[in-house]
Amino acid sequence: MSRTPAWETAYRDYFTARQRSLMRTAYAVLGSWPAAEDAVQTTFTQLYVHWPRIQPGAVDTYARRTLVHTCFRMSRHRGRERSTDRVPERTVAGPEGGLERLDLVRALAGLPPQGRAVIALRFLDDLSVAETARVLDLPEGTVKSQTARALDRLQSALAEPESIERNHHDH
Amino acid sequence: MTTEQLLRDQLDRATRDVVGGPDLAASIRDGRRRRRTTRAGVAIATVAVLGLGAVGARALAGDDGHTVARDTPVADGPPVAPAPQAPTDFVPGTDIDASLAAVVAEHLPSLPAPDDVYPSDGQTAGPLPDAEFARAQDWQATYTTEAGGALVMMGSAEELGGWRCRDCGAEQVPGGTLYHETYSTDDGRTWWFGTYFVADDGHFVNAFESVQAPDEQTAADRRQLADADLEALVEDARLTF
Repeated sequence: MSRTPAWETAYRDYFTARQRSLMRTAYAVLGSWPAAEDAVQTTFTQLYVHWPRIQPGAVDTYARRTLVHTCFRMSRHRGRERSTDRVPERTVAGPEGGLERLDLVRALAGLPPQGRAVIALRFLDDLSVAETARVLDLPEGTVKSQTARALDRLQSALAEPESIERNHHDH
Repeated sequence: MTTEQLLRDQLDRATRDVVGGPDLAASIRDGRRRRRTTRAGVAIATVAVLGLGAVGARALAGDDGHTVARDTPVADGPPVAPAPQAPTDFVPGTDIDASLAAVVAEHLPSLPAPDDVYPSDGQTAGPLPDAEFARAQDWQATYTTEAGGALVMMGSAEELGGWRCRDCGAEQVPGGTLYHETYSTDDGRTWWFGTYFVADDGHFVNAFESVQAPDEQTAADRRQLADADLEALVEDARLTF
């Protein structure tokens, strides 16, 4: 006799289909793969708890909301030991790609967590302003202004990677 | 190429090589555990609302004047009333139910007699049939309090299987690891304050206090049970079976 709930198959399928995407989003917000793994693990546990009550069309929004709020909570807890200030654990193949990745991760680390989430949702997950606003519980106008501000800061930071490096070591 | 498109490309490349990932089995195991405690909590809350009448209604309405019972003796405070004698033979044929209730009463004398004590397992939200107590993976005792309820759960190593609480504060203590966790039901109206002990041999004891409140701070203010008492309870070596 099996006591596995009937909906668990759908949950497993969702896990398989979406875990990689959520890992990438969490990494963009947290700047660390182990931290991203913890955040995504917590998110999927939450998803399991509430799965039967989540409307099928709302699962992605629910998962992203849980994920970003988990990331925010982890960012607050980590406080001083922000792993976004450290060199990532592994670089992508090729020296140029690795360098670019370091620059971007360090530039993102200069943004507040909500700014990083806006960037990740808009430009990695390709969500619209309205969808991003729903995930973050923010007015659309706030998402637009945060996007513009974050883009501006990222552009400045990426234009001067050496100064970022200097500042990093100064602290 | 626009700045936005450049950023999309860079983000894509920077996050493409995913390192690590969540564990499906752990998600399901922890999710099942959460679902069981949450559903048990709904039952406790229902008992509280139906059974406590005016007292419960006053607590739920946020009456700041209610007295919070404390299990930790306060030097110049009033003496704590002894717990009422608990009916302990909830499950015929075993004394595990009585032992569990007695240890809880010793540590948390402000709690009333348990509403129920029953065997369960990793798949079942509520009790197993009494006759199947021999295959229990955990035993649970539920209580009604003024602000909500309490659930004490002792489990075998087989059920937990290497569980660790990722989002909890963890502390190494003699014989195992102690965790604290606070979370709410999805409607945000019931808050759970969990104190967990996972022994080095894998058996575990979880104690939850549930509180009806609109937010975490209000819930914390309404708690009846002290963390220190809950910690002493979950670390009690007698809570094994």
